[in-house]
Amino acid sequence: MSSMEPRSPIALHKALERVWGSGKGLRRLSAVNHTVVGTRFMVTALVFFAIGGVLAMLIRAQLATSHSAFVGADIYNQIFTMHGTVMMFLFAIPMLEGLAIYMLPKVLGARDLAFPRVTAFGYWCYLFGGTIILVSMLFGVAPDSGWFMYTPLSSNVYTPGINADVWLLGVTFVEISAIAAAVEITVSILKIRAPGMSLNRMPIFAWYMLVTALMMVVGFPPLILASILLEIERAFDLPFFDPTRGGDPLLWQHLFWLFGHPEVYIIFLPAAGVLSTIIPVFAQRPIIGYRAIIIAIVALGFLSFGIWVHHMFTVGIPHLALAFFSAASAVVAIPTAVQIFAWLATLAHGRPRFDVPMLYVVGFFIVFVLGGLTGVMLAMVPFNWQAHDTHFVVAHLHYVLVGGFVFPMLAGIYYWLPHLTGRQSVHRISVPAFWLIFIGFNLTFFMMHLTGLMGMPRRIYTYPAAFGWDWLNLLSSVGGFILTMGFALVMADIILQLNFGRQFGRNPWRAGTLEWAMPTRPTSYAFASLPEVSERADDLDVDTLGRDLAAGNGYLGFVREERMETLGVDMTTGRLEHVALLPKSTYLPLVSASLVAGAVISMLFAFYWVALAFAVLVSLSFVWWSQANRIEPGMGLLDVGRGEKAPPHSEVDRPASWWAMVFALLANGTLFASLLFGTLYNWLVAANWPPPDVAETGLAMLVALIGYPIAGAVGWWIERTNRGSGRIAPLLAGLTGAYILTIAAGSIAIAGMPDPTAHAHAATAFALLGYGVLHCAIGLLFVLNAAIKMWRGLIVPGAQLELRIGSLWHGYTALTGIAGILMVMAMPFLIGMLEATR
Amino acid sequence: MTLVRTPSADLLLLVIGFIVWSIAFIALYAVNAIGCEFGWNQRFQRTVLVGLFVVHALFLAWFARQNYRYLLAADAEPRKMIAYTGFGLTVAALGSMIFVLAPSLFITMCI
Repeated sequence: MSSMEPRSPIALHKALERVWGSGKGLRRLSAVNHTVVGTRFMVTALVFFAIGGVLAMLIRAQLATSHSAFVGADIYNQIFTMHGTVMMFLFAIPMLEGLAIYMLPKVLGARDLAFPRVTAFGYWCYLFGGTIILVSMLFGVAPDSGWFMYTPLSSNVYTPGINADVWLLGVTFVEISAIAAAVEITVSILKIRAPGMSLNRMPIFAWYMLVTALMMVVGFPPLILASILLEIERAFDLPFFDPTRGGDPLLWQHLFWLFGHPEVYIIFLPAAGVLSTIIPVFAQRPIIGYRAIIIAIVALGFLSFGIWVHHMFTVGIPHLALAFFSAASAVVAIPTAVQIFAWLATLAHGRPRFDVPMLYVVGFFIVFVLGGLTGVMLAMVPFNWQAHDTHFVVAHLHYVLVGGFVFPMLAGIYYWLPHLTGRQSVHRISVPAFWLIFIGFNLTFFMMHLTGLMGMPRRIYTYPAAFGWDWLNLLSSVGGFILTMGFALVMADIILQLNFGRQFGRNPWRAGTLEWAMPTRPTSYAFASLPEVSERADDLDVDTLGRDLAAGNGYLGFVREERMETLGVDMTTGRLEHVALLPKSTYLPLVSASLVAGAVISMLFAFYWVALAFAVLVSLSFVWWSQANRIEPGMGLLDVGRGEKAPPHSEVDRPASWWAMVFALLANGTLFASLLFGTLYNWLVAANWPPPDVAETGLAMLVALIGYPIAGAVGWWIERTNRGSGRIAPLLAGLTGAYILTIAAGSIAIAGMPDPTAHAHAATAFALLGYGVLHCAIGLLFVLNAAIKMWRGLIVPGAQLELRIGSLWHGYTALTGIAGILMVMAMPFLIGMLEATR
Repeated sequence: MTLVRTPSADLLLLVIGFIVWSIAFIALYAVNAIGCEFGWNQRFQRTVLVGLFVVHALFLAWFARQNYRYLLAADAEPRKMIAYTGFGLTVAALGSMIFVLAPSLFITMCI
């Protein structure tokens, strides 16, 4: 039914709600809407936060006094490992993802994110992965090697049970969710905005999230690779990290901290985005230094990758490298300081008014700056050597993470809760709750600076009375319980606000960002019509704009053929480019995530063939995703209201889905680069080289070396031909042949390698060649998908998005396949070179 | 030199400076590790490192100059804003490169 004629706001609301609504009861499980999924992410993250908090209480109960018999060493190991794991992977990252998912379409003037089904899939992966990790605790097999899982402690020799496997598989499962969210956030910010919202008009929060998401795209793959390699080592005995067979435990540390240090800023930047949004509202003036802040956060994004080794100052690396990483660790304070001074200047030049969110902003300034200063201390190598692995480091990281994430997030919760609930806090509990949190936090963690300087190591489950650490630890534990009471009050306050809060009209804080130009609680479709932005989108007159949009006076103020539509724009200028046709609610994300869970659980219990079957089903389910989203070809220009027309996304050159593949391949490329790094690292640094047998180049490897460029070229040619459905069939057949040839040759080359369990050299060669073969197999799925669409008549000239996206994959597979083989072919030469110098 | 003109490619101006910073950082770290492992003499290793450092720094200085010209020529948004932040980021990359990699001029190389 087409409903494009003018109608009343109520009728428009009902028409949009009918199309965009997520249903009730069990149908709710099929929801893909960003408001529903974003809220789910945040609520689930808060549940995990509460669980992590209880674990922290157990730690403090154990350490309150010397010689405590509260829990034994084994249980204590599981508790502190789970506390760190839950807080970092199951609370902080998902919380920021949830906030971004919930908020971004609203501040960008869109109806949803670019890929709603991916949002939902990410949530289910997060929920299932987190549940696997938590359930392990109930069975006493929770991870117990520390949240950064250092080898060899986490290797088979020292952790023979499934504890480490739970971490490796569960966290990787959750990381899939994070990568999916990161790609989605990046592309949505760049392509799915209100018309007219050029980059210079984008709200500062979107800039923060853009940088954060790009950091996740590049930062998470090294950890995913490390987890895969360690799991392969544990399951199949390939010795990537085993020093007795040419591996190196320090490789794990490098890969982990390549993720781990940017992770700190990945957590901090969204929180800083919250501050940059809230502070101008309460200062009652636009933020000072908009451009300087953008420069600072982009710089921070890069610099944060250059300091991973400052977690490894004591492992023994060259002096000069120590100096590089020490200097980089110090210089990263500058862009952070730029933001702090911009916020202070905004407050100083404005007319600040005080409310609950501002309490947490002030708390942030105090706690985070203290954490930053101890960070500069730890960046200095001589001090770092003294304080390494002591409670001083524990104090520092909690000042940075709680100061830099939890305080701003609490400010954000109090600021946006009215948006989520449609009610305002009555403030009776929130003020004492803040003071309990602030005092409790400082009492808990300031003491750890002192115990750390007195020499107390982290992760010990008990200590002797003679060391004089008792009273400081007791105070710290008392502080911990005060802190918990504060959080309990916040929880009570939220529940009270939900039920008894004061209702309000539009825009209670007198803000200027677009999320307040919609009904609160938010409707499923966000905006009844989409705005045209003609000034900076964090200083708008949202009251007038909101009424206008609700009346349907913006873009797309109608429902067309029961379709869900939002607008896509040019990345930089914000010029209207296309109509994005979004998929409706579906159970597919839940089905695919359940299949991934099946694969993960099968691997956990060593049912590898079952896991492989699940992996095949997961792949086929993604083909189903593509087929289920039927978009008829040849729609031509569509009316978008306000006298303008635009083509559907399927008929433009580079819509959001094309860019999503680009960023997904960027993440994949980072993983591959990390694998190359690992190969070279073991060759250069690890003990027990040269290997007993060296992988030689054979005929199969040469055939594969020819097969990759053929597949890439055919993939590229298919995209270039722009032919109708029938005529690409021979090319698809040719591509299938090239892939099958390459898979066969690659598999024979792998079979001809020296035993991969004998030495790290053969293991990394196996991984490099296997990576290429796996990508060829996935390339075949792209071919299958295109063939089905061709058969259904959905690929015609001018509407060949699937082919263009597939072409990117085929090109990437060709490049990395060739690079992998060349690396394997170069290894005998490199080994000989190293042998000659030793 | 003609800098990028098409709107989407303009975004590269925001990242090129720090991509060069990253390449220089990784290159010096890797060469230092290889030199120490292969037992290169101090003088040779320092020459290579300083050479890499100077080449990257010179490139960034040149790129900052081009960026500045582009900034002067930019007359409308969003190009103006992109040119401004691009120039700022290139200068920031150059400054942090000098601060972070300058130890290659004088600090002991290996353990």
